[in-house]
Amino acid sequence: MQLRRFLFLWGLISLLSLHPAEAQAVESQAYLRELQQSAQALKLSESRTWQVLLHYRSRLFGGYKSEIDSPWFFNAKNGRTDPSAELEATLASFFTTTTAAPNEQTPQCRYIDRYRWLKKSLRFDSAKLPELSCPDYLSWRKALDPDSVTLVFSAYYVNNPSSMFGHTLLRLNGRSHGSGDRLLDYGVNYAANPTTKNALFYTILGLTGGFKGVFSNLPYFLKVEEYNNVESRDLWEYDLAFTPEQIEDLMAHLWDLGHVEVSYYYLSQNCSYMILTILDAANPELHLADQFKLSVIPIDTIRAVAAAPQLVSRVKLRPSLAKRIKLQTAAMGSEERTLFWELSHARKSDVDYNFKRLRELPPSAQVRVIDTTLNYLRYRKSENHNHLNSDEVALQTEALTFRSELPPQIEDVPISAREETRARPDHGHRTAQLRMGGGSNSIEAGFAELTLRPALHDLNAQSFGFPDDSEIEMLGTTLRYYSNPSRLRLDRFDFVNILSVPTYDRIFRKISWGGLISRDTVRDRNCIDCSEYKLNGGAGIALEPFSGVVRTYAMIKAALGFSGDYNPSYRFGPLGEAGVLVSFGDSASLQISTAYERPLIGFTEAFFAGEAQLRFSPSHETELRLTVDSYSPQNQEGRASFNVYF
Amino acid sequence: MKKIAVYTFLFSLVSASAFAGGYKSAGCGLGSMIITDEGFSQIFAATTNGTAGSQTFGISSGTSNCAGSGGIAKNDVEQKVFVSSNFESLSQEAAQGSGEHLNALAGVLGCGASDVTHFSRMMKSNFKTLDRSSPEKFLENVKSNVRHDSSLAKSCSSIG
Repeated sequence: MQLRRFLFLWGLISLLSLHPAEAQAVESQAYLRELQQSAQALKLSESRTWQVLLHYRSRLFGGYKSEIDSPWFFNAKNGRTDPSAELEATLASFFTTTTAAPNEQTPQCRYIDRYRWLKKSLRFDSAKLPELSCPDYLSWRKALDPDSVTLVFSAYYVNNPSSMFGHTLLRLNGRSHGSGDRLLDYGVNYAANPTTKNALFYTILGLTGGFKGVFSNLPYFLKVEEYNNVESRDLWEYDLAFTPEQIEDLMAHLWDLGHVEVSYYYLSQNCSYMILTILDAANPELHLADQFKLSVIPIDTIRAVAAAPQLVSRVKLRPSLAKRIKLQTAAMGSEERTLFWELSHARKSDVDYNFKRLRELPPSAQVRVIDTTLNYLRYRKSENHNHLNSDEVALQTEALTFRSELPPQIEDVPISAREETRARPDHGHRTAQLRMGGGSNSIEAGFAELTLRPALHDLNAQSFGFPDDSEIEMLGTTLRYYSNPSRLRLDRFDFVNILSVPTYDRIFRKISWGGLISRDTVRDRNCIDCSEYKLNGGAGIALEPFSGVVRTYAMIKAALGFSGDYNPSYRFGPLGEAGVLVSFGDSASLQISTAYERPLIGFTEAFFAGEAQLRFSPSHETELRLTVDSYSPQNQEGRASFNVYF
Repeated sequence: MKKIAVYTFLFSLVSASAFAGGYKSAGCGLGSMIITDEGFSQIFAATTNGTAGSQTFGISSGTSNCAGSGGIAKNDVEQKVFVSSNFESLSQEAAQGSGEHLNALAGVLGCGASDVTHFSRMMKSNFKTLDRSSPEKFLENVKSNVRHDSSLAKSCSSIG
């Protein structure tokens, strides 16, 4: 009897004390199964939020695939393509406490956005699934502590092919920073991590996903310095109205994405696209990223954000250094402007004389002149690869001391409300263009033509929201149908066409340049259905005799052409181009352009061509263009087209 | 020891950037960047969308090379990075006696919002004696000026 009691007690004790872990494991297994079953019943793996958090996109032939390449991002082996398996494995991972790469976090802390959402959706019982603390996340979260988020668009920078279309980043507006020190906020940037500096490989790898994109979190003052001051690009800040809960979700998602690698596609999965996916994580109902199927042009993402109901609460322009100088000089009287000019170009020996003249002006004028001079010296320094010559260094030192003796006063001239509205990037036309038209040619009969130009803007288009001194066109394709004899042919394919014609004046000595890679019809001689592969590029100068109304430019290029219809089959030599653009308000403009090509080797027949094109814009997204061309003394053409931006 | 190594690394970034023109320096962890000997234009040209540096550091902590909280710069690092990457703007705004960068400098020195204007005026009136020979000396000099200003000394918390 005693023995049986002893054995019973012994058994009881051993059951209770020796195997608690096993007992708990059994209990956890049961709770995990329960959670997985309720997740299934609720169809959580098919929900919009789960797709957003895991970056699933539906595939062309059914099913899903996540955009994220990093294997650790998934818990299930087939997690990248199976949202349901991934959800079950994710739930299982929350029961484990082992830390792992890339950031040595437990699953609950590494996938904190998924944890938060699943906990809320399935009402985790913390007794059965103990919640682990995430000190790293919390300290990161606390250090940034945003109370709002701003989407920042860095304007077009035509001189750098990788940022011609502009760039977007997010700014996390720290609660502790006042509105006056937004510079101390942190930006969230997504960019490719290029592994080559070779321009050709760069282009190829950039287009085919050969680089990995990574997120970084940089102080906003570095971005302002880089874009505003060094590259002289305007920054447009779009404040977003997210609720505190949505900002919490955004931060959790950012943390989850912190170390991921994503194949970077220059045209589609680029910086702007990934920024949209983050905004979607804050509010999955925005459906921002899924509006983009093929290509993502940064400004189109800004437009999508601006169009989302009640998302953008305020838009602010942070003008570039160059724009600030332009505004300052425009606000000066002629005497001040002359003095500014002479002072900012003074040699060391003349500095004293110029300052003496400056002292004769009233103090407010002195402030204007000296502040503009200081900005201009900084501009010169950034233009000149961060270098000032000894005259400029001496002037800068003198000017700073001089300025410190003048009264403190805000020196920036604000941009007018009208100018700001005109320049706002989301107010620009859409970036893809369809042209439908027809015309008549002197050596052929009449024709109808259709052009699709996926991006971006040409000089003769309405300049609302776009720089008025540059043209970037990519992949423009024109099909032409001739009636006699009846045939359809590829009239023209522009791989890329760039024209940058900034005004050259004594303050901004900007050089114009242009380049073209194209397959075009041979038009300068009587050669029916002949095609030429063209490559040209060169530089020149542009002037603005009537500011905002007339712009003229001239440039000299080197031009290379290949055609089976030449004898020999190539030509190479100088090409001179000149043009004038006249604006009649916003709704109409006239562009006249001429070209003279004088091939020196190969097929050396010279030719001259001229074009006049009138644009009229009945609405923001439509235009009518009438064009007259003279390709050769025998070949003239007239065309009309109706264009739609979409 | 590890901490010292990290700060030395960051400080060398700061010093290098002083010669390289400022903006190539960065925060730490998240914001760390790689300094190269090339001019900035090449660096920018080499990165898609013109962003600075090869940012191989992720957002979160753990692997980030920073002792700050979750990869965000600690105060003294932030001060050095801020001053060296905005040295030109700071010099100009100090002479002018107002400006966004000056406000932000007051911010990284931990000065209360109500003392920002006073801080800017102090910078202006002491402008001629400010040591602007290098960002590091400038920062030390500004801190010492703040310490000698009775009201700023009380208001600004990160001037040690």
